[in-house]
Amino acid sequence: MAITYVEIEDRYQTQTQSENVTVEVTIGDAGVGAYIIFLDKVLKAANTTANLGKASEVIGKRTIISATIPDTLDETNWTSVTVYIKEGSQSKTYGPYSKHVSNNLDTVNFIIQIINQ
Amino acid sequence: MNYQFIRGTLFFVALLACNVCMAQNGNELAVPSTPAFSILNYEPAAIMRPTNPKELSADVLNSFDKNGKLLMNVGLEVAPYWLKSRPALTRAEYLNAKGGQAFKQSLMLSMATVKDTITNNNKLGAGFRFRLSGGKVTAEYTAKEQQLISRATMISVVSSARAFIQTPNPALALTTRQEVIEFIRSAFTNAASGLTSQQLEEFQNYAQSLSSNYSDAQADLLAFTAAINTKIDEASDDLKKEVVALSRKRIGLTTEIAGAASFYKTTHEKFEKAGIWFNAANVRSQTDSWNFSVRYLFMGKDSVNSNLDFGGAYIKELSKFSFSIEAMGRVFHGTMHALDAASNNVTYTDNGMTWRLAAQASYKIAQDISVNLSLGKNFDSPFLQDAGFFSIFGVRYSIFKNNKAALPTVP
Repeated sequence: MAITYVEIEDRYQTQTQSENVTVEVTIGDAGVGAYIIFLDKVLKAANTTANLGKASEVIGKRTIISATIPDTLDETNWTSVTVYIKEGSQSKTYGPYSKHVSNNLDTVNFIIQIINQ
Repeated sequence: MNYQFIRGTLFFVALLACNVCMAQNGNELAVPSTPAFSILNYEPAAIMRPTNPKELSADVLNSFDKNGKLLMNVGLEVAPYWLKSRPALTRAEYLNAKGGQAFKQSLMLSMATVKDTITNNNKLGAGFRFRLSGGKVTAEYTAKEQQLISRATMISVVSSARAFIQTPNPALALTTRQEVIEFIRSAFTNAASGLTSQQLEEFQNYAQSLSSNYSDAQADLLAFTAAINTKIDEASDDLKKEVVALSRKRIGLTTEIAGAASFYKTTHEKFEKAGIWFNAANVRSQTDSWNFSVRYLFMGKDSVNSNLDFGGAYIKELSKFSFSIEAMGRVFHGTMHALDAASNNVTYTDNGMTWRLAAQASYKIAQDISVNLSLGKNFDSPFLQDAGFFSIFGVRYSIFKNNKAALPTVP
């Protein structure tokens, strides 16, 4: 059983100064998995929605999402993850990012870096 | 030896001999896992199970020879819904699927070809199987899933260091193994990670044992974190398998439907037989379940034979003892064409109803040894069948069998 790394980099343009920015992660393809969310080197949340703080405070920083999905489904070898960044009433979706593994029980780790502007 | 002992021994041996044909195992009330193989009564040596459109097209092409003829003795099993990624489907939606979603995610199509070595006919079988409800997972599954999520969190934390090893920002960069270890350690000890001190100790043990194999070059730091993750992942292998196995053990109502048909490829009469299965199983606990099934089989060609089977079963499984009882009815219609003594064409027809009652108990003596006891009366059939014929009454003793009280095969 092997681990495959998928590394993605993207950007997020803040919309306001005062609204809180939150990050939600959905693991798809009926996968069992876990994720951890950093703002720069500060751990913000694991396996739950992260509140990064006010939009003005995240500008210039990187949001890093590290999601790990062991393939535990016989029906498929697809794994996928989707990231939602919400700021007030606005929402932006990143992904879904998908990876097909070669063998059952293989693991995929998605590392998604989002530069906040 | 006295006469009574010899007579008793001979009686027991006779019972063993007459019950050899009952040695098949498995719950015959369930729908077949691969209907196309079941209708052909054949398990192909090579079974293709494509999981994406590219594999499917390659497998279909590989099923034909260079002259465009379908190859024999091959099987294909495909789940159309899973040929592409389903990023919107969460684990919870998958585990609790009902109705249309349960149908889509469980639909399995199968196909097989076989060359009948007796009649020299090539046969093709095609089938489908799906669920309309799949019950609920157990508390044991939920606990194991949480453990696996925790293991995956460990990998996520270790992997997050990769972002800082590769960052162009010197203020954030991790440039030595010690910095990498310290960054990961601080994340493990952060309450938000939800990780335990035992998991931190496990990480530190891996880091310590692997550190000397790598330098502080960027590529080596990435390889170092990957090696730690491989160790964590390998230590999670048994847990992954348990999650897979437990996800199939459901409590509650499961309903399954399957159908299949087989055809001749090399005779003028194409249709051979067809069948449809319906099964509803209610697992009340991990040790206690009942199921109800209906099966209709239809066979054509020289003779016409159709069976409508219906019935139920109750199964009790404890750690050492298991017990099952099955009652089924069969409405049958049989027609056979033959020549009489004067070489006239005659048709024999037999219609009616028959029943089957079977009970089996099993006691596990050791890991692979159990004592089994079965009693039953099988269906009366219009035509004698060469397999699965069930003795009128009998007692069976066997070893090297599992301890499940499985019911004998339905002919």
